[in-house]
Amino acid sequence: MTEQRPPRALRWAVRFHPAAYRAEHEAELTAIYTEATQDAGPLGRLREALDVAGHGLRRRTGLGSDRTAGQVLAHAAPLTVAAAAGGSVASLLWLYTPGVRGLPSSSFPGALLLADQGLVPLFWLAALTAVWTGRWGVARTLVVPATLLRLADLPLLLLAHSFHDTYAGAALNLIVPLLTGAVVLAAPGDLLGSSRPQRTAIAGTTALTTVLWVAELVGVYHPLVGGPPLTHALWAGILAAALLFSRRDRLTAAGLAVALLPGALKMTVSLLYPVSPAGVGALLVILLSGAVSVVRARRRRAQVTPPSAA
Amino acid sequence: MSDRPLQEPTLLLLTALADEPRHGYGLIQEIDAISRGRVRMRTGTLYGALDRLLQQGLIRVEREEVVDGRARKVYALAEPGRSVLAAETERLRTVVAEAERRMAARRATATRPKGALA
Repeated sequence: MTEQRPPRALRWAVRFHPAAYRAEHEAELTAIYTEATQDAGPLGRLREALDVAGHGLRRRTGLGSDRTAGQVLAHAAPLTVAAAAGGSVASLLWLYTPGVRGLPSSSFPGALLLADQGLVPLFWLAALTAVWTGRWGVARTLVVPATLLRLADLPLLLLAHSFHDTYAGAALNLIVPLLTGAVVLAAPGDLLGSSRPQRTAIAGTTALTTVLWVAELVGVYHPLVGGPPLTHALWAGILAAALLFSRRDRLTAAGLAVALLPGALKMTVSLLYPVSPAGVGALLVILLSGAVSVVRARRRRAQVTPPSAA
Repeated sequence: MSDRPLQEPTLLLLTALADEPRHGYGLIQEIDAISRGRVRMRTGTLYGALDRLLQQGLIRVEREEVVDGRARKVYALAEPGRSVLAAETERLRTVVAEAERRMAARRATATRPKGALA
């Protein structure tokens, strides 16, 4: 009997697994990978290896589907796509509303930026359609260019001399899309699907975030009662509500909180630079609701509860 | 156990093990066949699901064997997994029966001649 050497792509992929796990499971992973890719081309082998690497990273970071964090991510992923799609609807409205657009389209970077800001919402809306129909492979593939294009915003804004924000604003331009994309890509694939309750949550989140972002847009034309501090602080309030009202369906509520986190982060930071009472209030609300949620989770962990089979 | 419907990958995996124990690649092939080619489970995703279902006690390792110099495990449905699958099958059966009843009622209404008494 001869021990066969694993293919190079797989050898690279299994390095992402913790050493102990690799020692125990590498032979079986190799067997499954080899059989699964026997008729596959280079692209098929690469995708299979990336999937193995993703599994290894989830094992290493405690985000596997057998862990609570992984289950929260699986609930957060569709809602994150929904939240990003809600923002996309507002972005498209902003882009095509006469008199609001403030980007110069005359320069090359400005034109690229406009194209970028028109394309990203389309990717997110297409990803939402894929999630709605349960086509998660397509959805995750679409999220990659959507995230990369959004990351290109900052250098394009700088090149177009249209960036008038603070360092914190610049950091948010990178952190928010990275966080959004990471939640969708890191969610364990075996827990992703499309069920009726999930579609209801997706529709609700899309509607909620569309309203929140459109309120921002309307505020540009007609200052609302309370002004931008109120519309910004609303994100923190809704995030806190998701964290606090997690008793009934804790995974969905925690998933919603994770999905709203990028938007809430963006809005709260913008209220904190420069420091404002609304910003401090929003931060306190988030921190307190987060602390309550952690204490509850610790108490629950102390009790023995059977896991969900989903 | 949660009363939330099973996600499709979990349902397909438990279904693939319902008649006999299978090894990893056998499961990928069965899932492909059961879903009529719609779901192609990749190695890492399958392994993630197996880790979770083993941890939840829904499946178990039936035996380990060596084929062509490679070790592989053969997985079987455990009793709790069989109960979960039975409950999900019953839930789906109820939904299908209700859908068929409503569609039949709709067809009957549509084919009834105009002016005919009920």
